[in-house]
Formats: sequence, structure tokens, C-alpha cells
Amino acid sequence: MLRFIGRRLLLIIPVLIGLSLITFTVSRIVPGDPVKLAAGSQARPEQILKLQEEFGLDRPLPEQYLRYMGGLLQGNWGYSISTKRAVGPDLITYFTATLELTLVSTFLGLLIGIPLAITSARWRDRWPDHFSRFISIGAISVPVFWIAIILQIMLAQNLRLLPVSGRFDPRTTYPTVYTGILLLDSIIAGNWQAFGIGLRYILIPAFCQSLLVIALITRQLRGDLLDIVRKDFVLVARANGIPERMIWTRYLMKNALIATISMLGFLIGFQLGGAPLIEYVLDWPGIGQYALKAALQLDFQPIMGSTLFIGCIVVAINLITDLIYRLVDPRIGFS
Amino acid sequence: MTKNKFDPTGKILADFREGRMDRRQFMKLMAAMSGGVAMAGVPALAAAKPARRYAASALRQLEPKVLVYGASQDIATLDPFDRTDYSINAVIRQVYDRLFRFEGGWPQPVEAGLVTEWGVSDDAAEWTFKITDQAKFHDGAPVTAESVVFSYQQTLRAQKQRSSLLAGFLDEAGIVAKDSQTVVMTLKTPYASFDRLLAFLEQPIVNMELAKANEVDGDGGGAWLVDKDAGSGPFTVSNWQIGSVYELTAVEDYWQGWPGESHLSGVVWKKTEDPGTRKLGLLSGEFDMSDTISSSDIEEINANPTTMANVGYGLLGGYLKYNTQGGPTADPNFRRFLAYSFNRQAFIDSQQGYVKMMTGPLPEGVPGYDPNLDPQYSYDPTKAKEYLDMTEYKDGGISLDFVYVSGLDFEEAGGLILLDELQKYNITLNMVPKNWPDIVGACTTPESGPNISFIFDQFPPLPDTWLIEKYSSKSWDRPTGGSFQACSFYKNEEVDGLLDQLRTTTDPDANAAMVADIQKKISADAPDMPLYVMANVLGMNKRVKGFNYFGDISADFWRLWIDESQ
Amino acid sequence: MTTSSSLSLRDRAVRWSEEHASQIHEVRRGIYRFSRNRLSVIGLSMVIVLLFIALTAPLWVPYPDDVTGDVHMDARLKPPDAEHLFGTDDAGRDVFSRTIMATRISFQVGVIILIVAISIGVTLGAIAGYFGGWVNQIIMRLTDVMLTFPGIFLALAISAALGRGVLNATLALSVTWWPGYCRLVEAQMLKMREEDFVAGAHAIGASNWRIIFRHILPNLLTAIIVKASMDFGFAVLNLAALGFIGVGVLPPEPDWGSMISAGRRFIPASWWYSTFPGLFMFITVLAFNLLGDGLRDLLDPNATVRS
Repeated sequence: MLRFIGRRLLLIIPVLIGLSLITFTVSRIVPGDPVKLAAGSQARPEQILKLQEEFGLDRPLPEQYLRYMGGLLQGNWGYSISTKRAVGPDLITYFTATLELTLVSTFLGLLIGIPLAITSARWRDRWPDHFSRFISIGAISVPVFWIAIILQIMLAQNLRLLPVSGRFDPRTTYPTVYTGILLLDSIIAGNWQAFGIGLRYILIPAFCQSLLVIALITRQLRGDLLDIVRKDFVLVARANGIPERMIWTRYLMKNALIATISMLGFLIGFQLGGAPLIEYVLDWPGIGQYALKAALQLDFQPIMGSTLFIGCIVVAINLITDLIYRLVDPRIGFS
Repeated sequence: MTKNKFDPTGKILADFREGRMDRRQFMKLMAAMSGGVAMAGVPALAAAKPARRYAASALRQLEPKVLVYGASQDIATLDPFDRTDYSINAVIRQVYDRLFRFEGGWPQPVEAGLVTEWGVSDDAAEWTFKITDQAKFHDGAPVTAESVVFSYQQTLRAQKQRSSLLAGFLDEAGIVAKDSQTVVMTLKTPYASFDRLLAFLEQPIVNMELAKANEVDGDGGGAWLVDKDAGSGPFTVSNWQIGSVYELTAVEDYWQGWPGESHLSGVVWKKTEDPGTRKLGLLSGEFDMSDTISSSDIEEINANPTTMANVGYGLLGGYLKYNTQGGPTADPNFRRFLAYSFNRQAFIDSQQGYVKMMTGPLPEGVPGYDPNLDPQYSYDPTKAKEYLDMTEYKDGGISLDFVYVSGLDFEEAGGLILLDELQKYNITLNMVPKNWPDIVGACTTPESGPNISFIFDQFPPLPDTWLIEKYSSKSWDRPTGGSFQACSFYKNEEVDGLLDQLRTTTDPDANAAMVADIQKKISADAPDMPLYVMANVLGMNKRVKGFNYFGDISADFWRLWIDESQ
Repeated sequence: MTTSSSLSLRDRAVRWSEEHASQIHEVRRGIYRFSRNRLSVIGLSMVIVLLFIALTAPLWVPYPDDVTGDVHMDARLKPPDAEHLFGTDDAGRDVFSRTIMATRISFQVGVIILIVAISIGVTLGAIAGYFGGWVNQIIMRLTDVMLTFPGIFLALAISAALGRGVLNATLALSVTWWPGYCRLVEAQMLKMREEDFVAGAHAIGASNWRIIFRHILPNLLTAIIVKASMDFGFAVLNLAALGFIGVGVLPPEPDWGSMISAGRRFIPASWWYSTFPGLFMFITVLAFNLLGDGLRDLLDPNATVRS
């Protein structure tokens, strides 16, 4: 197994290098000049030069790239011109927020998606199936930023049931940070009030994010279930008089869940890429929002940092999922 | 494989792999998981609602005087030597003291802050300031002339954005502490309105001992001060995490006291970039104040029983700048045609009437503002056609680029209004939204400068600054290139000559006459079209008292208090 | 034997249908199976209606000038009524006309994106799959890199760098889309090149390119079509997302995303401004996804679901 991991890691390196090269090129074709902006309108030549030197923007491009990558490997993720803060610590802070959102939205997605899939497969081609499939396709067709706005209007504004945006109530003291995941930190500290508040704030963003999960899980699980249903051992089970319900729960679910796990990995990785739009509309302080703003400001170091960070995370998730997949299913080895 | 007897995960995994998990176990697992979450979630949710109300009311009981401020911008740094955004200044204004204040209303009368009295030599070159001995920094140390000198010198040394204007008049060596309560500034260029300039620059006075103790690489403590305070102002930084939490706490025994009936015990700055969310926060009571409210929301806020919107006009003027050095806009008649083609009423409608139209290069509030400036441009299609016929473009067939900041709806509205009108003359207007850095970059040379750009300028209420920075050829025809303020690339030798003499003409009448003359000449040439002064709209809950507009986007928290009876 | 030119049209038609009898039968069966799937039929009808709307829009849209630059500041933000079905926006323009024209523009851009993406992706995938070796490695690693990027990110970064404008947005999105097709074609190509008919073509001296384009790719056509039909909805969605962020279509051209974004400032009072474009967009994407899903069930040999 270790050899397997090692081999996969080796393949990842060129991918990450390629990623960094592409991001670097894209962010440096920038026609505008973030340095000029940071220096200000009445900046004198010395000020501009000073800033350029600070950010290393006066060197030739290849050198800039190498310096940046070198710094990266030493743990220095650069400095953002627009926020005037280091990129690294910010990435971690914002990432934990996105992680929390992803976990909750995945949970919601599974909560809704799994029953939908089972219904769909069980009563195939009858109206529950059509209904579930409609929901599944509808969920993935909805423009996510639009539904976020609609929910904001309906739930937050008109009914005042849920907060409009953000992560936490400005008037209440923010709970102490242990993991960076608000809900977990509240549990650790036993701060149930904070937990409740956090839950209310995360509900709309997590729901919007979960739509994707619902859609994909429903489709995948339904397909896998239907596949398995045709297999021989099911025929045998039925012939032996085993009740339908038992077939479903005991035989089918277990096998189907295996494929769902691998899809889950992909989904989590994808969601961790940040949902820039949801975070932007609902003001969720996650990595998507951070990267989005950096991109709009043409601020190259946070753009590089976020992209590489997310790339690494996605790759790591895929690797972990693959590992779990092979661990759980004894038929698949480590080729 | 002897394992710990109680190894549920291992057991479950093993069962799973070997197909031993039967329905019951599976159901149990599912039930356990959802049950666990439900147990945690449901009571928490239920508790949260009343608890939240309880928390709100409890907070109100414990800290009823904390103001929650919904802001459109983040506070990236508290470095007093590098102050750029309004958000940063809004907080620094509270944490540090300055030599002068001017927050007592509009247009900005100058009040003494740390300064008790001041005087100037006859040639307007040597300025003497006496510092009060009452002020104390938050760590107990007294505020002395030494700290004043250090603060100004360090700002010049750091060469950040705010130092530019100052550096034009003063060198480090020119700032001296004559004794522990007296500072003398010797200008390299005499300037009669220097005190007003200082008042506008709002240099925070920094605790020199504290800053120097945390100095790194000669930065005067700037890096350390990013999230710490070394001030003497009415508030201190109590909980500060950049990117998430910004809390100020009042200094109860502030040396200058509190101007209102009561005062705030603290301020929470809540960065909320989305304007809709900011407005909603205000309406729902989450925020006590929200800034940068869109003019379309004013009615809604006023209609809401607990809130009101304050509309003030500062010195942020919006101009349609024409590139006088190239393209069709190089022809003065074409520029006059453009100036007469802009449907100002349509623009006023688009902003719901919350605009203050400008009559000339200087907005109201700057000495020298002339409401009856001649010539003045209004929407006059007949005159427009006259001027167009004097140019080579009378049959149209050309296209112009209208550059504006992407995302600013009022700038986009201006462009659309012009586009609609120019269609009639067979002239195409290309809407070119850009990022602000791109626009700043484009304004460096006439070749890269846009045909028309919609740009806002803001300067201290000193007419010479307005006129020189925008219309002097020295502001763009130099090695470092132009600034966005001079994006019309205007070069008029006569005007240049007059502008050169402006700052050194100390006789007030002569100076005023010069300003009037310059304005007339500029307006006749139409290098840009002054459009309107943007409203600063601040929404606030009616329980917030003591607000007095002073020309800024935010509020002066020192003057505010919360009426707890509401 | 008579040469083809001397056959009458009718005879030619009869001959063609005889030669392709099995394929015609397949198509008929396909149509039958497709029509059994209720959701797909709904999708197809919706798509046809939408295409019709998009194609004919300029002819019947009530306020065509509102789309090309007219503004009516005195008629801002009027609620939906008989004159303005979806109300007016903040420049007094008819939201209904602009929404319909935005549909047209989205379709145009969507088609272009897919064409460009397919051209690049299929070509690269074919080369990678057919020639193998280090060519394959380079192309596939590149594809991996591109796929590691969450889609919207790359498009956003490119658009932000290039500046706003429909051309830049199209370019950015095409660049994001081609890797999917590349992977698809490469995988199939790897299988296909071992087939007998390829060896046969080689034997009679056909060049590599001819083999790729005339013999192998037509077999992949169905897979590509299926993927394209699924992708169209998302391409349109991503274009709107870019418009929402502010890096898409330039004003005064209408775009769903820009309209929703602009309308945010006026909710909930002028709810129609954000709501209707979004609703329309949802319906469009839903239609294409339903259709695509149906086609997938029908055509994709790898699909696990059979109805």
C-alpha cells in the first residue's frame, strides 16, 4: 500500500507544477498594475519603486516564479497587496470556514439525496422515480447564486427566520478558536448558544451548496442500485423468498455505498474548491470568497496561493478517497 | 489479532468488509448517526432562537452602549503611517488623537485637537504649534512634542500613500520639537493654508516610546502597529483579528472628555461588503449603523420605523474626463458638444434625486466655489449640435471608449445615458468597465488614456490643490506619468502659469481672483465635465444620537451615544 | 452497372435507405425508447420552444431598443404590468425584452464555447490516445492539471486578467471545457485503436490522420454528443456566473448573470429585476439537462441505467 501511495504522489508533482505554471502565467498577463494602486494616486517614483522591490515585481518573470516557488516550499506563501496581510495564515483561516461549510452541506446532501435515490430505484419508472429525478436534475440546473438570493429574500428578509448573511452574530462574543470549525469549537467548549447561532448562519449557504451533492448522489446511487438489482445474487435471494426490504437494506445498500464513497470524495474535493459564488452572495468568509476577491483585484500572490492550496487539497482528497475505496472493498487491490 | 476489546470502528469496518453487517446493524448505525446529530442540533436550534433573543437582550443589558457598525470595507491595517481607506481612517480617528479636529459639522470648521494654540510667521514658512499637557497615551505616558515630531517624521520616512501631499511642503529636518510642548514646522514651500492642510491630513499622533520599542528594520513600529494601538484617543483596540473581528472599547477617562450627553462603551466594526446585506442588517436591527447605502434604499430605510438615512454631500466629485491629447476629444468643440449632450435630469432620476450637481471644477465646500460660473454646461441638444458641426465629426461614424469602474452602478448609469444620446448623432459609445488598478494604469500617459473616463476626485478643501492636481500639465507631463486625477491630460500654458503662482500668492483677495479666473478659463476649455458630488448616505438606527455629518463616509464615534430608552 | 449520376432521385433515396436499413431501424428504436422517458420528452419540447424563442427573438421582442442602448430613467423600476411583463430595470429598460435577448446571447455563446472546446479537446484527445507514448503523457498531464482547477476559478482568473467582454468570457470558458472532451476521446481512442478495422485500414495504406478522422472518430460521435448536450446547460450557467461576478458581457448587452447581480441592490422592493432572469435561466438549463439526461440514457453505451 505504501508503494501505491508513493507512486501516486510522484504523479501528483508534475500536476502541481503545471498548475502553478498556468496560474502564474495567467495572473501575470495582467494589464493593470496592482502596485500603482497600492502606492496610491499621488505616489512618487521612489514609493512605486520601493513597493515593486518589496513584492519582487521588478525582476524578470522566470525569476519571480522561481522565487515564489522557493518561498512556497519554505512555508512562505507570499503577501497580498490588496489585504496587506500574509497569504498563508489567511488561507488556513478561510479554508477552515469553507471546510465547515462543505462538511455540513455534504451531510445535508446525503440526508436528502440517499432517500431520494433509494425511492427512485425502488419504484423505478413510476412517479416517485420521476419526481426524484426531476428534483435531482433540477438541483443541478438551478443557478446557485440566484437561489441563494431568492432564499435570502424569502427566508431572511420576509420571514426573518434566518440571518441574511455572514457566519456569526456580530453582537455575541465569538467562541474561542480550537479547530477553526465554529460548530466543533462550540461543542468542545460546551458553548451551546454559539453552536445554535452558528447552525442558523450556516443553514442557507450549506443548503445552496448541498444542491450539487443531492443531484450527483441521487443519480449515482440510483444508477448503482439499479445495476446491482440485476445481479444474480439478488435473483437468488428473491427466489429464496427473502423479503424485498431486506434485499434492499442488506445486500444492495452495502454495495452501492461503496461507489457513493468514491463519488463523495470527488464531491468534497470539488466543494472544497470553494463555492466562490455562494460565499460571495452570503458573505461566508471562505477560501472561495478570498480567491474571488484576489482575482478581481488582480492580486497575484493570493491567487497563486489559493489555487495551489486548493489544488493540493483536491488532489489529497482524491488520494484519500481512493485509498478508502480500496481498503473497504477487498476485491480492489493496490495495483 | 488481539485488539482492545472495545474497538467499535474496527469491528464495524470488519463487519462491513465481510458482509456481516445485517439490516439491523445498518439501521442502528444510521439511526445512531442521525440521532446524534438531531440531539445536538435540535435543542441547539431551539435554544438558539430564544437564546439569541436572550443574548441580544442580555448583551443590551450588559453592553447596551455598544454600537454595531456595518461597513462596506475591511480594515486591513492600523498602521498609522500608512492610512489609505476610509475604514482605516474611521478607526484610527478614534484610537489616536490629532493636532486638529474638524468633525464638528460641514463644511469643516477647524477645531483644536491636541493643539492649544498655533501661529505662523509672516512669510507663511514657519509654523509653531503648542501641544496640550493634558493628553495621555493609553499606557499612561503623556503626549509630548517628541511624539508629534516622531509621528510626522515617520510618516515621511515610510513614504506610503498619505505622505505625498505632506512631502510636497515639508522635509523631516523641518519638523522640530522646541520643547516638550512645542513643535515648529519649517516649510520648504511657504503655504498660507498649511494649518488647514494639516487638519485635513489627520496625522495620528503615535506613542513614540511604544512604537520604537517594537520597531523592526526601522519601520518605526509600523509592522507591529498593524493590529495594536499606540494612541491616546477616546477608544482602544480591545479585540482585533484582521479579517474577522474588530472591536473597540471606550477609554472612560479620556482626557478630552465626551461631547455628548452620554457616550458609547464600544464599537464593533462589521465588514459587510454586500450593500444589500448591509441594508438588511440595518433594517433588522443587527447593525446600529450601515454606511455606503445606495440611494435606491433611502426611502425604504426612512420608511422603516426604527431607522433613518442621513444624506450628506462631502467633497467627492464625479467628473467625466476627456482625453485632451488625442482622439476626437482633443478638439475643444467636440468636448463642448459632449458637455452639452449629457442629459443631467436623467442622471438625477437614476440616482433618485440624491445628487448635488456641480457647476464647475470646484465643488461646493471648497473656497472659490462659484455657483454662477460662466460658462456652465447643461443639457442642451441645440447647442450640442452647433458645436458638433464645428468639428470634423458632424456626421458621426466614430466610436469612443467610456471607461469606468466595473461594478459601480452610478458610473454605469452615466455611461448608458451618454450612450443613448450619442446614438442620435451616429456616434457609438463603447462601455468599457475596468478594475480600478487598470484605470489608474491607463491614466499614466495620454496614449493609454481613455477617450472618456468617469472618475471621482477628492481633495482637501483647498482650491489650489484641486486645480493643480487636476489641470496643471505638471501633474501628468512628468517622468512618472500621470495620476487618475489628471486623466484629462490638460495642457494650457496660460493656466499652467497661473497655477504655478497660486500657492505663493498669499494675499487672500488676489488669490481668490486668481482662482476665479483659472476656473473660468478651464470651464471654457472643457477638459472635463463636472457632473455631481456623490452623497454619503449613512443609515442609522434612531436610538443612535449625536450624529453630525462632517464630510466623511463614516461617523465620528466619539460624538455618538445610544439612547437606551428606545 | 449504372453510375450514380444517372439514377433518379427517388431511386437514390430507396437505395440509400436499403443500405442503411439497420441504422434507420436503430434510430427508430431510439426514438421510441426516448419517447418512453417522460422527463426527456418534456426536456426536448422545452428546448425546442426555447430555441425557437432564441432564434426569432429580434422579430417580436416588445422593446428592442432597450436592448441596444436606450435608457428611460424616468421609468425606472416599474413593477410588472401589461406594458412590461417583467417590469423595468434601474435604467427603465424592459426586463422581459432583455431576458429574452439574453437567452439568445447565451445560446450563441454556449454553442461557440462548446464548438471551440470540442475542437480542441477532441483533437488533443485523439492525438494522445492514438499515438501514445510521451505525447500521450504530456497531453494527459496537462489535462489533469486543467481538471484539478475547479471550473469557475480558471474561467474567472482568465476573464479577470483579460478584462470584461463576451469574447474574453467565451475564451476563458472554452479553455476550461476542453479537458473533459480530451479525456473522453483519449479513453475511447485507446480502446479503438486495437480494433480490427484500424489494422485493416493500416494495411491498405491509409494515413494516420485519415484513420483518426474518418474511421475512429465517427464512432465516438454519440459519446461526444451526449456529453455536449449535458455540458450545454452548464456552459450557459457558467457564463451567467461570470456575468454575475462582473466579468462577462459588456453593457448595454443583456446577460442573465449581470441582470441578477444588478438587481440585488433593489431587492426585496423591486424583486422582479433579479427574479425573472434567474427563473428563465433555471428553466433553460433545466430543459437542456433533462434533454441531455434523456440522450445519455439512450445513447451512451456506458450508461448504467436503462429504462
